[in-house]
Amino acid sequence: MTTIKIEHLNKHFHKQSGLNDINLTFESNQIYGLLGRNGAGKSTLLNIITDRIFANSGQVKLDGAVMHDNGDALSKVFMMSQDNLYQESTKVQNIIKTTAAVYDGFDQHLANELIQKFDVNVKTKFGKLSTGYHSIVKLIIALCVPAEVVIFDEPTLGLDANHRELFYSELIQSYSDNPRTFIISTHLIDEVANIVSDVAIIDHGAVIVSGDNESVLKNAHTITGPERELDQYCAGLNVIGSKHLGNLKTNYVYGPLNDDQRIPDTVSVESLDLQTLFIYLTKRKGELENDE
Amino acid sequence: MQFDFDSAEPIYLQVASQIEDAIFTGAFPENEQIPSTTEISKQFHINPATVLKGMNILVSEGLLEKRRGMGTFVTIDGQKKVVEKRRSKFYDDFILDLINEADKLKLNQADVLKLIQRGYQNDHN
Amino acid sequence: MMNNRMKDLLVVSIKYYLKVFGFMALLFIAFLAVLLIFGNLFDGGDTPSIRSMLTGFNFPLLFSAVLIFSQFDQGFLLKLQNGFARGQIFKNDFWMITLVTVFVTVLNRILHLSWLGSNPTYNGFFTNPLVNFFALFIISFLGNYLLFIVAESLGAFLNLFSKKIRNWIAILIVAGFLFVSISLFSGAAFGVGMLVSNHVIDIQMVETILNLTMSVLFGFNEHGAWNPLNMIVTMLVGSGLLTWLARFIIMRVQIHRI
Repeated sequence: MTTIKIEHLNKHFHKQSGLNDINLTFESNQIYGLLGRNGAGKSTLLNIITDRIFANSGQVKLDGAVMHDNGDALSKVFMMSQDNLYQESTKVQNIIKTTAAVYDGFDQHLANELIQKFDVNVKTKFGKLSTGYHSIVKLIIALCVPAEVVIFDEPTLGLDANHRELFYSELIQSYSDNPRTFIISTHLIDEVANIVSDVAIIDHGAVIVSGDNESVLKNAHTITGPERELDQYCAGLNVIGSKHLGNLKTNYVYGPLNDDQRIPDTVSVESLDLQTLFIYLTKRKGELENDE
Repeated sequence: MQFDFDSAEPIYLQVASQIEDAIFTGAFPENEQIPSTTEISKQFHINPATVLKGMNILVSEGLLEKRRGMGTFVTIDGQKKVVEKRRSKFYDDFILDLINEADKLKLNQADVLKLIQRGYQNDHN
Repeated sequence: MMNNRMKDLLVVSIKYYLKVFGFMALLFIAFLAVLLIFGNLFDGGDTPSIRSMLTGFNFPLLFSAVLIFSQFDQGFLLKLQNGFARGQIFKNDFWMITLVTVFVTVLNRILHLSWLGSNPTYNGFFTNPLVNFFALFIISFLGNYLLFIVAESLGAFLNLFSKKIRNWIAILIVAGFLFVSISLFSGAAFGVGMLVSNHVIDIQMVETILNLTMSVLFGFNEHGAWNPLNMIVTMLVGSGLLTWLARFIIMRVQIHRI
């Protein structure tokens, strides 16, 4: 059992936005989706978890032990990062060899299989690969490392549709064969919406939604009806966005509905999918403004 | 199997109803093994726990059974059970809806019965 | 003390250094072969020979220092990627540097190359030639270690900054180095000569200051008792301080997003 606990994490940058009092827990053997728009702070958070950059305050704990400069804890958490930390002049096969040398129990068999499936030329120097193949090499290594927590930061960056498909299938296969914690950080919600069991949505450096998929979606509603009756019903609810079609209006609501209030016959309540919820929760001023 | 991800229904219920459909149509025959959680999970990119949750509904309904070390099988009378289940839900799912809609359209009982008769005649012609 | 992962990492590091050194050795042999074909491998009168080139230019030492300095950043990133803590990275680099120091020191003893170990005034302080040899070996070892740990610290120091700033610092260092060497070899020599002849700079005083600095840094005392032990103690203290400095810097290096 490996639990990562993030407590009151803050990070300030000079120019870009940092992180603001992040509190999150990653339980063992779950597939997490860390969702956020570009620049929301996902990579910053992941880089702090893996001790690649330092927080200004707060801490990350693995099973109660602070992770900062903790070799034991850090060896249990592997991150496939967007940044290439491998030397460009090293051949892919040597990168894999080095990784296998420092991780006892590296799955060489799976590595060979994936190299074939993804058609990686292991004799190529890492720097000579395309963006897509940079991702693929890093993905293969991440899936074969015997870490208890594996973090993927934008795993499908530069991958074509077939390779994305293949990656998610291999991810699930690997998870089934050997359950461990996966954290997938991405801005492509649709890709992972059904794969992840838990989500955390980050916006402007703060966690705005977190919980298991089902309970998050239980609180996400699409409410449609004639404008007057709809607005009456939705008064006091957390409306995160709306759409007009003539007199017909759709409100997107995140939060519990008022159980005491009867739903008018003309108003229909349906659930909201993760992607739409995400879009409305993280919209900026000026975006989706035609809908208002 | 097909999944409609934009539907309002939770995914695990969709998994259950899709497998049930396959048992009903005979695509998953009685007393035969169905694809594993991992296989379904991999193919449709659904969390394995979600797939398992859907399957477990059907296990508790007696449509599927887990055989130790072999996998998940359609029960010997699985298809029959689906038919029974759907028959018992026929009234709730279709008849009540039908009457409801007929009321909105100001069709009375005789009109509806007539239409049902016509439907049967067309069907059998 | 050392867990399995640390041992694995040290093996990886050793293999890497062996590979680079092996490659350099091959290049060097090829270079020697070319010189052998074209002439003056051996002392040949007035023309500079390979031997004098070797003694004038401590190649293994300088190459190792440059290697330790330049491989820091890639090595550091790779170790972070593979789940090592900064404390472990420092430890690994420390052992690696120690090994390289042993290697270079032994090699230099074989090649009779050493900027300190062959100092004739320190040589011969002890009557026992074996003790003498060891004393000089240790002096030589510590001298080399000091250079390497400085290279490591410098490599780590540059990694405190983003790539952009790092490049500027590198350009400044190179420019400064060029400026100093050009000034030294051209006008400056003349200028200093002028100043000295005009008694603006007291050459004696410069010498005293230089000696003082050297004695503080390395225990290299021009007018001392030529006791290698004094030198060893000062060098040990210096090594300790610089090692602590290297660790201090490494513990503060973060990755820089591109």
